[in-house]
Amino acid sequence: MKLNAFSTAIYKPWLPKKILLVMKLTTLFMVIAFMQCSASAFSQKINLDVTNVPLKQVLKEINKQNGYLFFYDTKDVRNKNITIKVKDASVDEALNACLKNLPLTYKIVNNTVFLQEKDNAVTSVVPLNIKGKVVDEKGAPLPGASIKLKGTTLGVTADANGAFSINVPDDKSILIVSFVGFTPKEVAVANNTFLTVSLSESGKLSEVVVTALGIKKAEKQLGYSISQVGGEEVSLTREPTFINALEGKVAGLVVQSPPNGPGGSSRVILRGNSSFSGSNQPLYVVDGVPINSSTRENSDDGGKVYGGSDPGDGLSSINPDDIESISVLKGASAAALYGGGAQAGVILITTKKGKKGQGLGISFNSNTVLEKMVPYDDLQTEYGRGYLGRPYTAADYSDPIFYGQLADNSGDAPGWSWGGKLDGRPFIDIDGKTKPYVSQSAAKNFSRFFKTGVTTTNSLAFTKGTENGSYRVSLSQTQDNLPTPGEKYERYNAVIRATQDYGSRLHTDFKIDLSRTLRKNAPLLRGDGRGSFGLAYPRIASSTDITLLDDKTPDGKYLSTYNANPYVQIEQVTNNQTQNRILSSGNITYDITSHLHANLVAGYDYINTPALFVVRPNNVINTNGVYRTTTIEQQKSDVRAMLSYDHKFSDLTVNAFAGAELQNSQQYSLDLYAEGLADPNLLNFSNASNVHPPTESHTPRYKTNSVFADVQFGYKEYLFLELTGRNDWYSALASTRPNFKPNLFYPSANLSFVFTDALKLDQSVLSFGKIRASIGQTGSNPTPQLTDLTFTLKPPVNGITNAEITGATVPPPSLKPETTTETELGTELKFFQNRISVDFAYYYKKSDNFLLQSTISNATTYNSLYFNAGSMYNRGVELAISGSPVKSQNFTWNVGFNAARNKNMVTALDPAIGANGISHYYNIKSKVGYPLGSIFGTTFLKNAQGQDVYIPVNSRYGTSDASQPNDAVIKDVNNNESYLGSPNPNWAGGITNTFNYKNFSFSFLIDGQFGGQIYEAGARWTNYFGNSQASLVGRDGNYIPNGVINTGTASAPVYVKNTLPFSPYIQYNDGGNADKSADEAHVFSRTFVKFRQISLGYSLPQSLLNGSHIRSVTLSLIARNLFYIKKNLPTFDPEASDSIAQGYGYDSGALPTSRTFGFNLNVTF
Amino acid sequence: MKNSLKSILFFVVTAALSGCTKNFPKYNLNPDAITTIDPGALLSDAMVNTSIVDMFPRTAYCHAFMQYGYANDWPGNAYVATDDVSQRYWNNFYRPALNDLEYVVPVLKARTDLQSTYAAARIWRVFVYQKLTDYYGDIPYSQAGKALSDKVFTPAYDPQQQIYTDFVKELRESISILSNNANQKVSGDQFYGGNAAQWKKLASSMLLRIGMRLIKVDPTQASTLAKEAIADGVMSSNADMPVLLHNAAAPNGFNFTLNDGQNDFFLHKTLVTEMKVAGDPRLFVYGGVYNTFIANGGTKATPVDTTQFNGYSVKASDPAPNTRVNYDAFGQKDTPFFDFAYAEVEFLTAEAIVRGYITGSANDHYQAGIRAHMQSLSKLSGNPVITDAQISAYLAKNPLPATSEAQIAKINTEFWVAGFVFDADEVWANWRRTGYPVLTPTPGTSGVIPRKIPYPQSEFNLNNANVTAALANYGGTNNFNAKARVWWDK
Repeated sequence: MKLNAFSTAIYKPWLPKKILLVMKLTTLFMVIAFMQCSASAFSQKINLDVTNVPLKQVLKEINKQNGYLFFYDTKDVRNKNITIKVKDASVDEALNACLKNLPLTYKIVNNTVFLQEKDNAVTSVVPLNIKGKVVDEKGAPLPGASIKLKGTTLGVTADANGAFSINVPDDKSILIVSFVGFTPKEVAVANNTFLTVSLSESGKLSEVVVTALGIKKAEKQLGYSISQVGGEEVSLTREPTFINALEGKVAGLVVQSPPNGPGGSSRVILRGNSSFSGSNQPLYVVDGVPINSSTRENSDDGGKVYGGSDPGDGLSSINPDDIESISVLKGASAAALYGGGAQAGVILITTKKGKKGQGLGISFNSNTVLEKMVPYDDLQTEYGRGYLGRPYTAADYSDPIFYGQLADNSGDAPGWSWGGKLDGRPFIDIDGKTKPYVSQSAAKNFSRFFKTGVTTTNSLAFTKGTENGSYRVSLSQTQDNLPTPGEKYERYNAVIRATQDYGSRLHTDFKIDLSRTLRKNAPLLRGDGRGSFGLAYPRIASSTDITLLDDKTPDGKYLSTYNANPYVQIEQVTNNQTQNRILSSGNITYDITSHLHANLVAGYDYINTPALFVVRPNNVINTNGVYRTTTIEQQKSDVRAMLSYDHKFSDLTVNAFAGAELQNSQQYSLDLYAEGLADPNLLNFSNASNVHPPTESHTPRYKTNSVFADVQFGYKEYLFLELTGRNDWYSALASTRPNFKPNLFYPSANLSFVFTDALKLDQSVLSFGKIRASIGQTGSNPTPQLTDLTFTLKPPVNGITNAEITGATVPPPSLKPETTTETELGTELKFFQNRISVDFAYYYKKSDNFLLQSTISNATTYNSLYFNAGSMYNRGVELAISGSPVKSQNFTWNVGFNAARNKNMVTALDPAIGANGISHYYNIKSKVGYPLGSIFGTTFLKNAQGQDVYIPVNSRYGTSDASQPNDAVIKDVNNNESYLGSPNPNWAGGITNTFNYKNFSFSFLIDGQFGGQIYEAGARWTNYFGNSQASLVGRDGNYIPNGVINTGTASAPVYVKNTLPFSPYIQYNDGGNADKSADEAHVFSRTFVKFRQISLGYSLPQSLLNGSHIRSVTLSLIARNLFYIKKNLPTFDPEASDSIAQGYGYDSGALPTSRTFGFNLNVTF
Repeated sequence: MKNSLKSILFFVVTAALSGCTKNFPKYNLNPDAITTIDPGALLSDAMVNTSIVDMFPRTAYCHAFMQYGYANDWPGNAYVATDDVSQRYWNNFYRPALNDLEYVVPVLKARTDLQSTYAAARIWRVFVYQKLTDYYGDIPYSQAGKALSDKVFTPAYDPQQQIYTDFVKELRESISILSNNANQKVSGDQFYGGNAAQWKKLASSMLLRIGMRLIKVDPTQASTLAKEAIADGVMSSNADMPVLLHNAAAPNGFNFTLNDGQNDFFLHKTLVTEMKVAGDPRLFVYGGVYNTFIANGGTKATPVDTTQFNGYSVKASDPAPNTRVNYDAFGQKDTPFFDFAYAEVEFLTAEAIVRGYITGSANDHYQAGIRAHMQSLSKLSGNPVITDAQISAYLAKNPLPATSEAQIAKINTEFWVAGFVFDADEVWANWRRTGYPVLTPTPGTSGVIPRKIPYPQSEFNLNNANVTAALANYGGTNNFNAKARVWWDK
């Protein structure tokens, strides 16, 4: 018997008349979301007055008036028109009147009306009340499980004990029992009155993956590689920026977080660099809406004076506790539906929502993390402050070669560790006092300077699921007091998410995430010696107590005017940023038929970032004081509509969708800058003596309009072919000048073949085997506001208006977006009933049309030009293996391993760029035939026989003083620029081991990178100051290096064997000149293996919780960044960098690394 | 349900159509910049930029070559070429000045209401290009400034002879336009308050200057142009001089140069001696006796006569120099800049008469030149005045000699004295043209005063084929060498 049912809910569909308005009405989101549709009260009085209307309509009217639900077979009520007039009638009176001339009868059970044919009524239909319980495999109740009568929308929800009670029309009824995360089950009622339904958890095999545009697909359908990570991976580790927690966990994903403090930008690279100039960061899409994640890094602005600011990329505003899952779309085929902007891959973030029919849930998570700085472990401790192998003497203080630096503690000389053996004899320290000559080791100075950082995070989430909808409200607060004194990070999140079904066809899902992030005294990415600890420490003499830098003269002036004084930054500099953000999205789906669906997604991301920079007057930096306020306001909106269709024709399935998208992005900034603060404590422009004109900007701004379509054919569930296409129209490519084509088409195709199913292989060993192939194209959003000539007004001269062409940059004759075409082959294999699974991918991606700003001949009357000028490729392999070596009742051991290799090569640059390539940052360049952003510089000279060439020097005065005989040698330098390495690793990967024993869980992660180099400027300075281990070689004057000396001329060399000792002092310092050493000496392998993470978890057994309101309690201990198992770079952090952009290969000697130890408590009710 | 379907379909179609939306070009304009501009504002900027720019090349080379002065950091002292100086000349004029002019000239061409402005922009473009070609010889000219309109990013170098031919054409056409639009004011005019007639005088004066450049390579053409220029009407008083009034917001380029480590700008002994011997009252204006660098708190003494003035000398036996450039007059932000001294027109006219190109009294023009120049100095900061009595005394003491060659030598020596400080580059060109004043090359150098500036290294990186081809005409090496002479200096 086929049954239909209806309730009042389906008669009140809410449909907005102007769907476009939705995105603007953020507040309306919430109103709509909470519009709970409740059935009206059961009233007994029924009024009807109709003539010749369908019976169905009359029944609906009765339902409307009294809320009774009706069950009937469609054929019984079809084509039956009635005329009826009743007033204040009871249900029975009304129904009897309705049915009096029809072959139907009825029965009422608990406000439910069953209509039946009169003939069958008495014998077969006996309405039944069924009671039961829903449990999981272990027998634990599943509160909130949904129990539905098949073929109807009628259903109930299991209570806190998993118990339910439902009325069904007869014993032939079938119940559908479902619960999120579990496989739904159909249960026949038969002659049972009590049913115990056991649900099993959804297996990994049939896992559903979120793909581009939020489309969920079974893994076997995918012809490309996607890595999906559960939210617990990021919520447990408690990295302030969630993405940092993925380090070492996903093959092909390299995450680096420079030492820019919590809330700083992260460098996230998928399958190598894909752009010269634009962002190499992936596109982030949260709940279907691309968010603003531009890095705004400013490591090399005119603001070098600030040591390079990093206002963060906005990712840290997302609370890790709110993340349900993360999908990483690595390749162009996976990401092609995002077109422009997806060149560097896409990261899809799905946030948590309440679950329908799950009842009320409360989750509380509390977390405390302690952070300790790790001292530099390998600085020398043998020699102390001084030079020429002895401590400074009183006479040195008046020696003109020091320019008075020793006397007033300015310049470099006060920090030199070129003195004598640290043997306890007296020496003069920077405060002028005489003390014992002993080492002030890094460990001592670190503990004097840094404190233990403490981060606390508390998150509270309420969820409630009803039959037709759900909501989730989460509040979270993070307070991070960092090890650097005065540095603080705070984050507050409030997230409200509501889903609601309006009848069976209209589904809505709205979310708003309000966040506020405060960064106080965030560290500077690089510096000009403005006092960051990382810059200062390697420049302090090995025998000096760092706290002396904080000493002041009686009139309050810093005793040490040496410019890298970290105390000055802590005490005199304020560098604060606040980020206020509204991240909202709405999703409305309408099921036109069961195979045709319409979907509208709208999102709006608003970020307001006020910042404050103050240097109070002092005698070291910005002497008279600086006051600067900056406000950046970013807005990004996205509206997408699409129709999707699916159908199954015997062996063939078709899934297709098509739609359109409108994106708009705008930015506004206002920068106010003043110098000279009369009153050091009054932060007001009226207090400044030199106020610069405000700098205001309304760029960048752009719109992108797109249409897209996708069709996937499936044959017998083992062969899948998907074709996609997207066309983007960019405002950024448009111009008022001719010859600009503003659009580009991005196609892709992928094929998936499950050969184990197709060939019906024996699955006892190879349980599942799939091969996949894909090709796709993506692009990079072109830089806006480049295509037209503009003019800048200048101050009038002699009363006459003056203007010039802005920036003397000639707009390009035409402009194309950067495009990346990628082919990918891969396979996925599972063995021994999925005990072992292997995923392998090979890709080759070619990126073209790099947009470069090139210097052009001034004879053009311009000095630069934007044009499409280069190509490169990335190719590589990715391997992920996971397995369960041990799996028993109480104990399991799971291993996850991933590794990826990538090779990058610049293949072409326009000849206009010149053979010299493009300079990105200091020694970082791109040249044809080398990886993007490689390191170039000088090397040590070798002769034709490959011997090291040395030059004789005077160990006391250096090479310039001809009056002294040469008594030592240093290595000679070849000043021609040479390739010194690439910053990108050859291999990167990680291995995670997880052990579960009863309620205990233990896991650890080791990750590493192999290959790749770094230009460590910090090493140059530890050498120069005589603080490095390298500076010890030859200090005693007894090391005679094996090499040659040229006694001839440069053009006619005559090499003789060297007999003189090596002088590290001259090589690295030369009386105050760091340039005698080659760049080569500061380039190191970046290879490292790190014990990244260890965690121990314990869940209270259910038996203890029975009878309480507490559903689960989990305690975890977690430690991160424990130690390097292997590292080749001395002293500094191989993962650090001045920049997350193209300057990545260069590090100025950033802040040292830290270890964290955390404690996490999670309670759900 | 049908409504929702309709609205979604409507939305999809709208979005698809808006893919080709017409507003994109406008939306992509920079909201923080101006996209349409009054052409006069660009002309004005070009005029200001011609003298607001860093004058280091003018001092480092031209003042050194012409023995006007000496400073430690001038590579020109030792006749050594540096790319720093080479590229500063190139960049200072190609970009800030010609960037405006090359854009605005085609724009103005179509503006019937701004024809005088069009002519003025073309005149000023010639003025700037002449400086460039007189420094470097062959330069990008016909293809320079064609990046925007014709996508020329590596402009070819034109032979200087062709450039000069085009200068003449440009000036003739400009003079004609100004004659036909005498009532239109020049928009953005920094010199003459928009007076088209004075622009015509400037163009004619430039025609005279160009003509007289050709005395060695084409005396016939020189004669023709001198006649034509005089007939068209050259500048007739200091009031016709193109003078840029600077201020703190737009300072005279010498202000920057003299404050950029150049406070030790000594006057050269050659100049000091010449002026002392001639009894030139301008020496008090040009220089002063300072106890030390101005930047180091130096103060100016007030000597009663010029015997105390000691210029810079390479001879160790000479007294130590104490005479530095007069900072009060030339080092100020608001000192006006003389782009083209009227006195030079008088000297050129006097020489043209001596050479028989035109008729008239060479002596009258010689004296008018000296008088005008001495009077013009009162426009400088501090308004130093040379009295009429001083002028008369000077003229009496320095009469024009009798023979032609001696007259040419005397006239051009006066040209040299008058060219200090602003017009050292023009004086260098005039010296190359006439050989006067006769200068003894500095001992201990190559012994040859350079006659062409090497091309900037950036051209070899960014426009290599074209610069290499041009360099073949100058000995193939990019330095000071015997073959490095511009076309009119053969």
